[in-house]
Amino acid sequence: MTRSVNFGMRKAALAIAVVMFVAACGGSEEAVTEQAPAPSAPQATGPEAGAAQTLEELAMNPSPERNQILYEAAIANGGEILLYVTQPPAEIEAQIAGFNALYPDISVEYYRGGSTGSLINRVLTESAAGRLRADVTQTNDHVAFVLDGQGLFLEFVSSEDQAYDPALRVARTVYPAYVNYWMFAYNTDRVDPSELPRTYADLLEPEWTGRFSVAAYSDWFFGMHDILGDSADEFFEQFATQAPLIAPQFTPALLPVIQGERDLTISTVSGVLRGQQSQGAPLEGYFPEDETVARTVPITVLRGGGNPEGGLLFAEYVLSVEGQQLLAERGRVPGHRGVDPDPIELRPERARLIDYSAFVPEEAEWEARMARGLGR
Amino acid sequence: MQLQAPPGEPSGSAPSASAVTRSRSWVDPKTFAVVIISAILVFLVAPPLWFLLRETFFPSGSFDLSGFQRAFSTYNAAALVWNTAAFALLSTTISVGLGTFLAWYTERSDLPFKQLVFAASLVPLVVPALLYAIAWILLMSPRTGLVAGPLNSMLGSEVFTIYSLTGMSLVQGLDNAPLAFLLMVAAFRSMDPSLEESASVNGAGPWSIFWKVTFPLARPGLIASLLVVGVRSIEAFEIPALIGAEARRDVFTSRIWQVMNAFPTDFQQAGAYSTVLLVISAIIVYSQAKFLSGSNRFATVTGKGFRPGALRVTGPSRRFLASIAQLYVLVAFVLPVGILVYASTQPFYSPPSRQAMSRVTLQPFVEIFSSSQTVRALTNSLILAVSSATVIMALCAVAAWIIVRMGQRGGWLLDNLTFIPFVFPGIVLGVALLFFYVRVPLPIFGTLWVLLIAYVTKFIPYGMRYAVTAMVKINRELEQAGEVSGASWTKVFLRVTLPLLAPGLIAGWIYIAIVSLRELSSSILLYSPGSEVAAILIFEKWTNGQIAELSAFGVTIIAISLVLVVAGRLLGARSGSLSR
Repeated sequence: MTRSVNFGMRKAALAIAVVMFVAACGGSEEAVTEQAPAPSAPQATGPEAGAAQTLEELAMNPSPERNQILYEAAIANGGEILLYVTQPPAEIEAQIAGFNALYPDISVEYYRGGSTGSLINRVLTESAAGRLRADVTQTNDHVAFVLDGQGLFLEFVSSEDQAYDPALRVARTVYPAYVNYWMFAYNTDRVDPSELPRTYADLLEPEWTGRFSVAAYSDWFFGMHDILGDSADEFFEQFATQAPLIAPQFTPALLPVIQGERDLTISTVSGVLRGQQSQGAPLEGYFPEDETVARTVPITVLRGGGNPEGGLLFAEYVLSVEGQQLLAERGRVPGHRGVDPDPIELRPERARLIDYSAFVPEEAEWEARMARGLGR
Repeated sequence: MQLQAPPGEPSGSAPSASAVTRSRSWVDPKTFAVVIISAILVFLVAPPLWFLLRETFFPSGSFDLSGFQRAFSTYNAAALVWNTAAFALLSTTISVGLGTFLAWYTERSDLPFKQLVFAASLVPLVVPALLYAIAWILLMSPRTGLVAGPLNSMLGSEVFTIYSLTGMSLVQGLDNAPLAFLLMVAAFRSMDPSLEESASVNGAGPWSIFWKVTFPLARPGLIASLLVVGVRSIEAFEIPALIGAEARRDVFTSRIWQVMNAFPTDFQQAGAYSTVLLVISAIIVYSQAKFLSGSNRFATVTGKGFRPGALRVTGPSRRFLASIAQLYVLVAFVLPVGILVYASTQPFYSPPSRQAMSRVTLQPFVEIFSSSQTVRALTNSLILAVSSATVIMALCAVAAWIIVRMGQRGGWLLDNLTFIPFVFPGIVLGVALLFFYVRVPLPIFGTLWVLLIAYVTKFIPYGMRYAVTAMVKINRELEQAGEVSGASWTKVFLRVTLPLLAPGLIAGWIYIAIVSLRELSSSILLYSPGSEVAAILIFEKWTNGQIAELSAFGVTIIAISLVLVVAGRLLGARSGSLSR
């Protein structure tokens, strides 16, 4: 009797396990990268509701009343906006504060992606599941190009459209909030300016072995190959032998320089540098004499988010003269042609934008080449 | 993994007629417990495993091994395997060696400063691994490290550096030592000292007693420690990600992170690496299970009374061992916590100097506590720590009884189900859970609930180790005494078994609460604005170079964790005295 009861218990446990397994894992499951279903066009609300424009129409018509319509619609949608960004928190919080000074009734939250890849993956995953939460992205061209290819962005015309160079727009759905130009930075307590490397080739000199850091961005690596041309492979072969400290992003590449563990980084941008300088870090930056790699940090509005009107309103703020001046004060190079960086020398004479239409289709290969090229 | 009933002992006591009637019923508490716990474990375990295997072997519906081909051809596979094996072996050896020594020091000897050593032994546990890695980077960076910098200056070359396989193994070893320590403490506390006393009476010295009596009796706990720490080392993420990356010593977990962070993400390749880790972990766990199958021969907690005693250590051994313990306190506690406290008082980090001391400020703490994000992260972490620990130990208490007492008759399923998450790298578990919970029609994605599910899934094997290790030590005669007296299974479990299990359960609760506070590898993929946790905040501040703020936040987390440990210790002491 005991054996039959125990066998029954075992069968019961097995049955439960099978039922739970099938229930948990059944159902249709799309691949992660499957394109998100096109959302239905949300209607703009507010006082113009009687002759309501769709969001797409509103987005393409930068009328003087648009911001007010967007503001009212954003409040009606719940008064909350979610940003997906990759900037330092202090910077995005300053932007939010500036936005809230104009629109105090709108609450702005942000999610900071740990890396370009993780942010792209998060947006695609949420979109594929129909649970996209973000309203705005402000990351970099790489993210923007990929997500635009998935049809996730709302195309809009900024009221400052004429102030933005079309050449800086990696897609029609994005506007460059600011431009990142790769630059060098050194520890002023440890290095005399007279001994600084002025070109990339100078980094290969024996006196710079083990003294500098680099951020391992595969799009930067692609951009360097674009600039160096046929000599790129040879350059990076020797570069790897210089034992650079390899960091995942700009700030981790800069930290060892601040601490004195390295004397120089070749991977920083003006905004990151200014942020550390403002805290007293002994740093100075400069551009190499070679052409330098550049990419923009565009702002975009996501079509499937919870509050696209609010997202568009935030984007308009960032792209406005006031929003651009805030970025300039923080050491960024504004995308707006009417707002200069501070100091103006932050915009180098020679720079080359990364061509993402060539890079993205071969990204995996460039990742592998970079791993070899940096000696990993 | 199965824990067999002891050989020669019946698998169950001969039931009375009324007991047979009760066991046929579906409301029999043991049956009910098996069914419910099995259902919960299947729900927690099956979907992640399903998604992992599907993405690895059937990414487009048909069997496909190309992920393995890419994993081991596009990257230096030999170096990856070597780094992982060497890192795991070295760090495990350090952890278990240290943990065993410290547990013996505090539980079985009369050596001085036991309270201090006990507290210091737990410090790495209460410090998030990410923070511990950062502290050691600040201490042992070859040029500017507080310890390594001056040493290397004197030597004229960078002999001492954290950025090496040895360096990362040492940090991981120190980080995992508390885990081994807690397991060995439980083992030593449950050990009847009469055997050691008999050896002492017959003239054996302390070293002889340790090697010939104590160590063999402690073997189940030691094997459990090697298992847990070994798997923990293989799946470690934070220290390889921070220190190993700079040392160019990638291990499987850091390689998975690189693949997961890249776009387009090669999930199949990540799954291939994960599958290899799963196989390795399975081999380790199976080996341990085979050893523990004859567990009753190690039972020393019987129906007879016992008092844990302390071995007298005298002479040069006493001074030597006390010095070792004090050195450990310095290395594991004073230096890393000290450097974090220092860093938390600086506007930006620079090595300690007269100039740096003139910049001392509490501004980082002001920044931290005036941030709503910080308060929210702290609150979320505390909620998750308490809730996950409670849920896990409640489940494990019952599950451990079923596994140890019922063996093949119901425990086999639970034992295997609780084993599966054990071999999941936290980062892979995060990915799998992310895929699952964005698809199911449950409104929990982006909330604390999905993190709670992740924590329970991830840490339940650890809870089981504590519960099973404690359960194995309890001889059946105490429970049989209750059954013979007419008590139901439920009453025997609550009134006899649970109090005896209490020290192990409390130790498990403490451990799970504390590791929940420091969890990063799964959380980093599952959190959303509003559900960020402490480790996420620390990670973000590290990537942003906010060392002062992250140190201030980290010091706060450490203080909270220490309170948990102290409270748990007081509870454990109280429950231990009540159970006598």
